[in-house]
Amino acid sequence: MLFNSFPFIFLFLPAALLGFFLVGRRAHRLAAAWLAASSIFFYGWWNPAYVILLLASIGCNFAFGAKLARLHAAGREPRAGRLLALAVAANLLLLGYYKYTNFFLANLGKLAAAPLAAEIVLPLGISFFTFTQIAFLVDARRGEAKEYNFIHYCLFVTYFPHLIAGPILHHGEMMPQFRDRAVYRLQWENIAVGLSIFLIGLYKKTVLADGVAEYVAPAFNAAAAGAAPTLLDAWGAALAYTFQIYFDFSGYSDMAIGLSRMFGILLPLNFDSPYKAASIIDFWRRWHITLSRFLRDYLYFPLGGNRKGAARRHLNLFLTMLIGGFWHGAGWTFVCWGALHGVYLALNHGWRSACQTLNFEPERLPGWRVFARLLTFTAVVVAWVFFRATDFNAALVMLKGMAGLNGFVLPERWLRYWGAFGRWLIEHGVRFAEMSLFGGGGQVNWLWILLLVCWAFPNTQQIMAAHRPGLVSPGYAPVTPGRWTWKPNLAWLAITAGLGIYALLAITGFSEFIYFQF
Amino acid sequence: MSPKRYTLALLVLLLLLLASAGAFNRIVDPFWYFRDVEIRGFNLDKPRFPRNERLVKSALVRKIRPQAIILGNSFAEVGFPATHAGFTDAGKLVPYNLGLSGAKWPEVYCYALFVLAQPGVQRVILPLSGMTEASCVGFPNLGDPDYARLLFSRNALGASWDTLHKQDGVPLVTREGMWYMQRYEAKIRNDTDITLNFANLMRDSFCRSPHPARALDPQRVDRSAPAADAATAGVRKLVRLAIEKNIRLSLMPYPKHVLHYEAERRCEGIEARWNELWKIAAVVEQEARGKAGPVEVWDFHGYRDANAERVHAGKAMRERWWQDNGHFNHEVGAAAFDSIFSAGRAYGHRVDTRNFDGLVEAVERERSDFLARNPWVEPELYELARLVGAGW
Repeated sequence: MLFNSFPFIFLFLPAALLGFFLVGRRAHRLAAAWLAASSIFFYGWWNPAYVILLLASIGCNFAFGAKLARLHAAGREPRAGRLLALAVAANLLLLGYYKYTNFFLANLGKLAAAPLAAEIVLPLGISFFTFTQIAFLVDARRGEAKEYNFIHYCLFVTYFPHLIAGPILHHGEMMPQFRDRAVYRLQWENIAVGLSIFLIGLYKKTVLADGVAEYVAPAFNAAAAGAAPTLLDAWGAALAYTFQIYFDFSGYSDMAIGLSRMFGILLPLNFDSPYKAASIIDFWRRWHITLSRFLRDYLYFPLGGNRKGAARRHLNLFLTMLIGGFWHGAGWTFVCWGALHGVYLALNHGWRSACQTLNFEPERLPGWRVFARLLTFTAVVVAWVFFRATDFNAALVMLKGMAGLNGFVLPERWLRYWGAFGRWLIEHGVRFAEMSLFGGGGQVNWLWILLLVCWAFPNTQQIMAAHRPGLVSPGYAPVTPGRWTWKPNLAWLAITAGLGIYALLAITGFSEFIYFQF
Repeated sequence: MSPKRYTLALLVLLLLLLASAGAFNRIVDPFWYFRDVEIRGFNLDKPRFPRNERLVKSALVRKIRPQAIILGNSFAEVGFPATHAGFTDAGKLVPYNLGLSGAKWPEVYCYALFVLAQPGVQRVILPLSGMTEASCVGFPNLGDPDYARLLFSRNALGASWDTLHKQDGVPLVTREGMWYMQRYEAKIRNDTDITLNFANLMRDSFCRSPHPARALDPQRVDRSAPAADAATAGVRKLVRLAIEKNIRLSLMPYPKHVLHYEAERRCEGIEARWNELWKIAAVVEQEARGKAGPVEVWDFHGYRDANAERVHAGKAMRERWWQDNGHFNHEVGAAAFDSIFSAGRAYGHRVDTRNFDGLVEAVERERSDFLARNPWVEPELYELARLVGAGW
């Protein structure tokens, strides 16, 4: 079931909400169980067979976690360490089997010059529920996971707003909320705030992300098929994908946060206007925040973080991003995307260190912020090409196009409007032709409007800042109110209803979220 | 405003707006699915139907339960009149044109499987553009109406709005699913427009290196019995289904304009066409196992008046029989239906493996006579090729 579908919005959600608050009046534990059962139903809607896998994973991890906590309490650390290694390995094995078997077989097949493949369907959300539970196990081993209530644990993992594509939750931020009696009482403020956030997210997904999506596939598919997209084709598609993935995933995260808020439960914020970032370090503090903090806490720090000197720090950053890339998808393009961001981060840290050593403050230079933002944005767009391309060669063809090595052509249609200027361009060697991979004026309009939305508009949590839209992860900047702050008044009622109806009418058929595949 | 009032007002507003959109789309009915309100000058012209036909056509088949159905791509959709008296058995059968613009063989095949599985179907017209079996995974919900898209979508709202504003009485589609394509296109005003339009739509028929027109080489027409392999598996399955359900299934290659045949003779040759026709006829006979079954093969290839309208005929677009080399208008389709269902006009031929050779020879003779009487053919063909820069 998709958040952006009529059965979810008009049947599942009202039933889940109604049941939760009706049962919650009498028995909190039963209400939590209702919500967990609803979440399992939500998951099973896609493929009932994988519910067993999900439940088995939950059962085993809960048992491992409880045992780890007991061992820690008894001071039997070596044994706890071995058990943790076993439990994490079991989780990674499960993830590896479903997600990476075909990747390894395909590469093995290439080496052996014989195609190899296994018929394995990737269970929805496996990367997310595996990571969530690995974090729980590590915390249990450290003695940081305090509560071992199975229903609450089950709800923590299966909770439908986050189950399929995050945000990646931390045990410590969810369990206290499930214990809180206030959560089980209907509070209209939660419904009003949650519904508004949900509708903003729905608008981002169905109108913005799905709207710009049509400009992505033609050039990327053509590159995969051996064609050579020109400068405009390649940049048009790369930028369109840059916006598609942002509005798709941040739209999903808003919807998840909004849905959860209706149940009175706060989820961690996942995006903070990442394309406003003026450095790659800043970008990763704004993009998929819950994954970044997971990678930081459970990979980068255990690798040594920045405690072992500058060189090791850069290597650790690179490895963390490389693994992060591989987590996204079983393919060399994802590895490459991760590696590229690893290099970006290492360069960014190196630059900062150099500036500090030389006592140079580039921020003081006029126009530096704009330049830094543009440079960061360009670097991110280039990396997205690897993320989207079907294979490495297609990515290189796209990058060649973006570098202008496949030529520069303008749409023939534009010649009609440009008159003398058009003729002047032709005289100076500019070519006009029919362009099948570039959407012309329509695409240009989409791109500049979305760029404006990303750069000049407040994000959802800034709009909702006065009503605590979500949890701010430790070490991250608090939510600062934007120019427009949501209030339950007539003006916002009109705006939200307008966005909502436009978004609802844009639900056309089946449009999966990009991050569902991860 | 309290959060409670805000929430309730928002929910009521959203539901009201959604319900209004649904009611508006239901009344205007831009895709001709609901058919509750049909008023001339209000919603009888459906300007957005062609772009959305895949949303409704298969669902309509399940809703109106037609007994006589036309399948195929835009050639069939534009050219075959579903209301033809012979096809509908003098109005006794409910007809529908399920032709789909741009449909390739796999899509047509999947629609054919869907149609043959519907109860009450008695007659099916299926022009063939392939014979293989295809996966229908890409067409999972044929026949199921998508109410969300029919009623609660921006596309439907836009289509309703367009419908209300474009009631100029210029027909674009018929209630029975036939599309007029460019027949009443106001922008195609004179002979020059018609010629350019014809040339543009014929663009793909001009090969890069033409040779002088060749007569048929009988040695290159393969008359061996087709093997029961993947190459013919799709048609075999359809024929078997039709026999099993006793549905009169009329198979045929698409009728083409003589300029198309002449272009073929200057490019890849005409033999492939005859090979395909032989294969179809032989497969039908193999599957019928010697009995007279309900499946028949027809051919409308030939140098007859119905296929030989001049490009420079001095007729307005709306009066023409052919819009281009492949899109024939319903007058040609009616002539084909006359032959199939009314034993009328001698336009086409019923084909079997016994009369096949005679047919091939007859068409070759017909061509020689026709070209001798019609010297316009070659100049018009080369003019069209020049217009699209084919280098002929």
